[in-house]
Amino acid sequence: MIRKELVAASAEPMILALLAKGESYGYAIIQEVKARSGGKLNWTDGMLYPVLHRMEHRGLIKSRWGESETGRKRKYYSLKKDGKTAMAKHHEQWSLVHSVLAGLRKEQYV
Amino acid sequence: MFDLDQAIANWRQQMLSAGIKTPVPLEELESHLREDVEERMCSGVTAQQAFETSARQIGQAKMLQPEFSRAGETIYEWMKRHCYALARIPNYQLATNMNTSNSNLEPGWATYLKNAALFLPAFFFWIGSLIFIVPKLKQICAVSDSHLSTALLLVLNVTDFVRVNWIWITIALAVALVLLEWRSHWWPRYRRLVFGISAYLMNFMALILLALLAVAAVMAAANLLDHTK
Repeated sequence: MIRKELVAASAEPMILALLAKGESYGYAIIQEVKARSGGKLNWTDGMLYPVLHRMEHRGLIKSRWGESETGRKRKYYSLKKDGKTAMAKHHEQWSLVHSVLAGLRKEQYV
Repeated sequence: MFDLDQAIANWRQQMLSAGIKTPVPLEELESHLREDVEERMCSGVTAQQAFETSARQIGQAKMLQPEFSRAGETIYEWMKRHCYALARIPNYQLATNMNTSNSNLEPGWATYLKNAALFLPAFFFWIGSLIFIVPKLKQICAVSDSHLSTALLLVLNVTDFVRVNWIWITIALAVALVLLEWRSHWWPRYRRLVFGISAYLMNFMALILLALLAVAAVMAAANLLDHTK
């Protein structure tokens, strides 16, 4: 299982990256993260919504109420311009961390 | 017999009791819960089992409530956001939780260049009004026996002070900036904020001066008409 600090830190970049593909809603976001991580990134479902609300307050994403195919109310989220910039920044930073770790790991095996 | 709607109503009541009182999060959580329950039931689980698992997966009300409280924007956060907006520091730089402490920094030359461009309109308007508008307005006021308003007189006095002492003021500012750039550790972090707010205030004051001059001109014109009659 992945450490909770890492799960928390990766929540925002993951949400941004998922929303960059198009509008989505809480349940779908959680399901996609679960599927993509093979169930290893396990968020407490309810905790996603405060994160989404905070991101909305910061102007990274916007929301609208819509309806599902079955007529149930759903809140859809989509990326704003600041969100796209934030995503690029996150990507840059995570890539840097990844490249440093990969470099160090490579050195261990040389 | 398990009643799903009743179970969801009870769950909703628990959330309300724990303090999640605003309708939006509650509606959203309920929508999520129903969707998850439906999905689990489709895979052959009973309604009761599906509900219990989904409710557990959403989390306890007492654990969620503080997170939702934090999600709301406080007055301090609102002020901070607007201050940073004035300094043109984008929101995403405040929002990213993987940022290092230096992530809001931009090169000093960029801040100085951008702010010089922002200061210029206010500066030229100020100089232009001092050379062309204010002497003419004073002349009209003298002819029409009008008096300039106290607010305008105050602004003009400040302007006169700046005009007389501009060399000393420029030197003092230059020395202060050199010292800040040279010695201060916190200056690079707050440079953009300080300049952003100063540029905003300068432009705001230029607009106030323009409004005061317009009011004074209109009042002097009315007096001048009376005077000529």
